This record gives sequence, structure tokens and C-alpha cells, in this order.
Amino acid sequence: MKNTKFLLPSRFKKTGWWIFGITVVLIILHFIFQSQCDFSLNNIRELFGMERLNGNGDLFSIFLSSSFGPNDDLLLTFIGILLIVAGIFIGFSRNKEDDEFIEQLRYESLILSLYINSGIVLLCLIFVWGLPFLWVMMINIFSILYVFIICFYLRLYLNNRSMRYEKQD
Amino acid sequence: MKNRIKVARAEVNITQGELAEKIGVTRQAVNSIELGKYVPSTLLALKMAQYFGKTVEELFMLEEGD
Repeated sequence: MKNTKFLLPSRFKKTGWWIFGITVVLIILHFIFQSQCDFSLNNIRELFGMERLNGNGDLFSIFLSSSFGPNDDLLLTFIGILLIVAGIFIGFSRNKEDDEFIEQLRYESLILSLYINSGIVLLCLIFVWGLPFLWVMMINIFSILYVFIICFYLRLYLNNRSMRYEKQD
Repeated sequence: MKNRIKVARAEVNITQGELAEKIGVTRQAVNSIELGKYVPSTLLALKMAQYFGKTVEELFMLEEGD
């Protein structure tokens, strides 16, 4: 009784957790070695032996300049991509045991997470001003996905826990 | 919506887990249906009725206000 057409197969969930784990390690490493780890466009040019080209003319440099910008941190872009892919894999792949009840839980969690996320954004709009609001916007890119995952797993856990207290007669 | 799943289960002497396995859903689903926390789809209601050899109306009944 699997009605939802848009969910990924269950094997994606494990992959999603692996990607998430790697991303967390990358984030930790980034914050620890932030000053040393300058993973900018110039480093990429050096890596590919293109420093002499000065970013003009060759297609690769034009691509990099237009994709990441000269001062952007490539690692953060990479982390962002991984976080979104991991979130989608974890949140939107089927559970090993999936049925219409779990689908209902997933659907309700999605609505709940939308409310919670919107509430958080509303509070931030009121209380966060200036440059720090950029952080709010950045976190907001991923927050709805991860608030949904937390809501869904919390509801699954609470459901399983309430069942444990009931006699299986 | 009220239901008589627990009574029907007792009549054939099977656990929630066994019923879940027979009709192809999780035990959480059976548990939630019994407690009235979840209203099953027509397909699941029909499967349950077929398993117990009863009609859907014998297993599920409307309450006042439904």
C-alpha cells in the first residue's frame, strides 16, 4: 500500500545519512581550520596549474568566476550542496517498513515543519537586524528540510514509544 | 469513527503484529487504527474486512459528528 509516487527508494536513506555524516565532518573541519583552509578560487587555479592565466580567457576560469565568484568559499558551496542532497535523501526516501500510516505521519510532519519554520523566520524578521540577518537567510535555505526531518523522526519515535507501553494482545 | 478491530482480532486470536503482517502494513498502523488515532484508507479497510471475513460496516462505524 505505497501510494506516494514521489518518494525515493529506501536505499537512499542510508546514502543520505552517510552524506550527512561526511558533511558534518567537513563543517567541523571548516570551523577548526577556517583560517588555514582557504579553499578559494585562487587555490583551485593553483591546483590546476592555471595561476598564469589570471582568470581571463579560458573557459574553466570563466565558469568558476561566474559560478562561485572570486572571493566565495568553495567549500561552503560544496557543504551547502551536500546538506541539501543529504536532507532530501533522508527526508524523502521510504522507510524500510513503509505504509499509508507512515505516509500520513510524513505528510503531517511536512505541514508541521512548514509552520515551525515560518514561525522561526517570522521571529527572526522581527528580532534580527542588519548583517546577522544574512545568517538567518543562509540557515533558512536548509532549515525547512531539517525541521521536517526532526519532526518526522520525532513523531515516529513517539509513536513507537507509546506502542511499547501497550500490551501486545 | 469507531472500530471493532480489537474484538475481531480477539475472535481469531491474533496479535497486532500478526495482523499487520497479514495485511501488509506496520504494527504502528494497526495500533493507531485500533486506538482511533488513524482512519485507514478504503483499500486497507477492505483488506481488513476481507481478512476477518466481515463487511467493512461490521468493522468500522460512523460516530455522531462524523
